[in-house]
Amino acid sequence: MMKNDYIPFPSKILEVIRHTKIEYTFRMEFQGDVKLGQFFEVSIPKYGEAPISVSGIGDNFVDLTIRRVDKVTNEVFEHYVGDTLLLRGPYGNRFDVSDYAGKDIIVMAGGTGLSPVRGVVDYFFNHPEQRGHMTLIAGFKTSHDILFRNDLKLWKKNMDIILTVDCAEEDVACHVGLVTQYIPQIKLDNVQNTVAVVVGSPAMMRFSVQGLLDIGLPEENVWISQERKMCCGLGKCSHCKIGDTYVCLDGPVFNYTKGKFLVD
Amino acid sequence: MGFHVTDIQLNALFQTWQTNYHIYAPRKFSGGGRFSDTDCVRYGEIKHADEIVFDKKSDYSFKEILTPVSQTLFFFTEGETKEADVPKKGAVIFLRSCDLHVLKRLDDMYLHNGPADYYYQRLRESIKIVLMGCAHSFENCFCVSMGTNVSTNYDMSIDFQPDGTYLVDCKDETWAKQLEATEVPRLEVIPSHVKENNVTVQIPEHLTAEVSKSTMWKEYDSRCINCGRCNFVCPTCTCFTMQDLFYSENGKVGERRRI
Repeated sequence: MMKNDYIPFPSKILEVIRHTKIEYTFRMEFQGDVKLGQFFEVSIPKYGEAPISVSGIGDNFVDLTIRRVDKVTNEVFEHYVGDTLLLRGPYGNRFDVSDYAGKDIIVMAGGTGLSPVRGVVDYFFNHPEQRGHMTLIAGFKTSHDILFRNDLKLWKKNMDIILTVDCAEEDVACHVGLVTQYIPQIKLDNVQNTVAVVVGSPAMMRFSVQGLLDIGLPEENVWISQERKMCCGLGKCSHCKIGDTYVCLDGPVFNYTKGKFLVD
Repeated sequence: MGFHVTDIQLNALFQTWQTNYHIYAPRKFSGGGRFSDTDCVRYGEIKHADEIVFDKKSDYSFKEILTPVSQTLFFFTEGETKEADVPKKGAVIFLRSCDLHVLKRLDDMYLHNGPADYYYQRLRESIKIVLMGCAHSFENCFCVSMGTNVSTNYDMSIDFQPDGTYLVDCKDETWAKQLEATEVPRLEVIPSHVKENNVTVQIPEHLTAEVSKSTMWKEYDSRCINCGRCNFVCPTCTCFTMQDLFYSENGKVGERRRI
């Protein structure tokens, strides 16, 4: 019997964690094989589907951090703990933590870009012995848009966190400015033994990667995640296709040696 | 196994097919052209051999049979989903050699690029192919340059003869037995194919994705009105999107289609 990948399955909302007015993490019941960096299609009959990255994985759940931006995500926000959503997936490749093991790690995230990479940061927070020095640079529009505040406080214990907002506000308790301007502050012992993961808007990724290359990181030491509007998730519909690459199949995680060609 | 059959004998074969298959072939849609009082040749269901248009190219691709313009994937109610039913009958599709090569591209995309597409696969597994021989090249054809002028992976081939009869090469054993039983004349049949086109296309060597930046596309961009018709004309285009339709006032009962 063939498997019908288009039929979504029901998943119960176990918990809703509110980060900002428009960004919540929905902890969804899920038992199955899922990896950091993959994504699910949240599938709401009548409204359509939206690809959402996995921001956390547990024994019987996955965390989906969702920004309220369109009719599908608006409808998701009308659901509460105990309700059921329909999901398809997981799809795509993953962040392979073994690529970063034993090395100094830089993670640069812009806005909701912190969501897909949160699992990687959390993994190396919990396994500091598997890495060298670690730096997270996370940028948000304003201090009201900061995600995963509790995680950021916790991660500070064993890694450098540079939290920055684009716009200066009164009493702001973090840096001000774009993530790229903090690249020179990163402690670098050996660029050859340093890896970086960059996730954010196309512009943020472009300038951040350029900044990292400028300080000497080899291209092959940089990974990006192409958060595009994936539709079928199965390599058929071509919504996410860039050139001859299907982001939903070959990505969304790409080494920069390949990712640099994914421009449209 | 080759046969020389009359239209009556072919129609008798068609009748037996219709128990388990719909038969699709290029046929004339009177008044269905792009301008008033013009006809259109496109794929449609046929019952008789004389409905098949052999002497003109189809204006649209056959692919609507395998990837319908609008295809229901599943139905949803407030708490459940139900997969759309499998078509009750398979399909016998009349294709030219170039179209058979197109089928390989569709298979590559829908069956081999990532997991096999459920809906395509269940249709694909229930189709039979009849190769329509091309006695001559049509306007703008360039199959010889592409190496798509010859195909051998068919269940049956058919060549229309000037006297109104047909030459067929039958690879499907069941169909061959049916024809043998009717005692039609047997002979060796090689499907006709085009050996030379008026148009020759040379593909540049070492073609890369850089060609997407060529100024050549500006002309196409300037004329495009986003009607999507190119998707239906090009047989190898596989793009689609999904759309939810709802029947009830509360919007919780409906269906998801791909279009």
